[in-house]
Amino acid sequence: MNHLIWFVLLLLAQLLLIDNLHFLGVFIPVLYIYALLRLPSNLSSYVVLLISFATGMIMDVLSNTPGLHAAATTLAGGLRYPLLRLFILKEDMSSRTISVDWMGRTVFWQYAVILVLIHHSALFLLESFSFFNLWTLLLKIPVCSLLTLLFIMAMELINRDDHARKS
Amino acid sequence: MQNFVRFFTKIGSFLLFALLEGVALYLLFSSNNFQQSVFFTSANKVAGALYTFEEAVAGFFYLKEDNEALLRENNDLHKQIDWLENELSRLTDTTGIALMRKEKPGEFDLIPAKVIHNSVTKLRNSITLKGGKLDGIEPGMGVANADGIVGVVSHVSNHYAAVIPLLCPPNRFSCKLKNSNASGSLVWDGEDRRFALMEEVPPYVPVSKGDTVVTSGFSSIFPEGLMVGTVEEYDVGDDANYLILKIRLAVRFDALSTVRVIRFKGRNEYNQLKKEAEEE
Repeated sequence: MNHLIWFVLLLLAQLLLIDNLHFLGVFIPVLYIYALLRLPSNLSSYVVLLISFATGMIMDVLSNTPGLHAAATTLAGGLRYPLLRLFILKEDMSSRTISVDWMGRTVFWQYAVILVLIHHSALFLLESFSFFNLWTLLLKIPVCSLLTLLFIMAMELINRDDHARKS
Repeated sequence: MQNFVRFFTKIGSFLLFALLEGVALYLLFSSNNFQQSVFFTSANKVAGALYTFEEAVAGFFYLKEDNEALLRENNDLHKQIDWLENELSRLTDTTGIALMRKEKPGEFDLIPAKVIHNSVTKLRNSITLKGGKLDGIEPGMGVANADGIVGVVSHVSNHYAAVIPLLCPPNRFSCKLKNSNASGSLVWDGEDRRFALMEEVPPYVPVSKGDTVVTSGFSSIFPEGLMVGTVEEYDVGDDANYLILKIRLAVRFDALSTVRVIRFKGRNEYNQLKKEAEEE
């Protein structure tokens, strides 16, 4: 339930706020990937796939790009489990939300950077498929990934403060 | 049987992945702007309601700019009325021709519509209008505001319409240089939302910076002579067979609020004729 709220909030923030920001030109962060990132590690891969496909489709319908976000997000959702297994033992998979606190700083950031890069590369490659502008593309993938990761970092810091206050 | 079940659970998630990815890619690559279902675009009901809400909140902050734009337009219209009245009185004095002119029906209807969603940061941008089938808007109609042309309607539901703006390559828009009547096609290069490229202009055409570019009227989308932009730079193309002009767009795409949808009255007849001509 908690996770559902995150998906809804991030999608709304993306569509109503971020897509209206103009000062960075074509470089915009993709927020909704954070909700996918922090799903519990032992969640069935079927569910993760369906969630990522649905998230992408909602994004597509609302921004008139049928299939674009859905394809990129499904790819990220599908590679999430194999990626997690690189860093975590099967026995350690738990129903806790994935976060810096739980995974440790190094492991979390390795996981986040790779997943965001996969998603953004797929997204921007597919976007420019029929209209190729190599330099914009080569610049867009790292810069947008960096912006997304900065956002994730900010969210992680806020969430950690929450935990500290509670305990 | 047990083996089969085990095999299926193992490969099942991969099958689901392949299926979903297949659906997404199918949608992406089969999407023909005019044939796709309205369901998958921002012209559907839920998206329309969401963006109406967004406009209600965000529109408040642009009231001042909207007002200024309306004032400017008002002024221009007043000037035009003055000029037309002068002209009318001058012509009615001598002959009765002016009366005939007055009765000639306009070729184009304008349908005002509010922009409720507008993107400029993507490679393929889109606009959503509050106004749809019930207001007389149909796919294929041109969209313009007081400054110039904005785009063309792609999908319509009862109350909302999705628009393909100029900033959506590889869609091309037919236009011409006002001075020389030389035509070309306008396409966005995905870089800067203030500029677009006008291609396929013959190399012998005289061009200078600041020349006006208007619509060519070669289709049933826009009437001839609507403002597109002005020439910012020009360059000879790769093989020197045509010129490439960098056009400063007249419309500010990051500050759209109210637009007009253009309904060409002879549209059906025109399309019918064109179809027949192509079939022969």
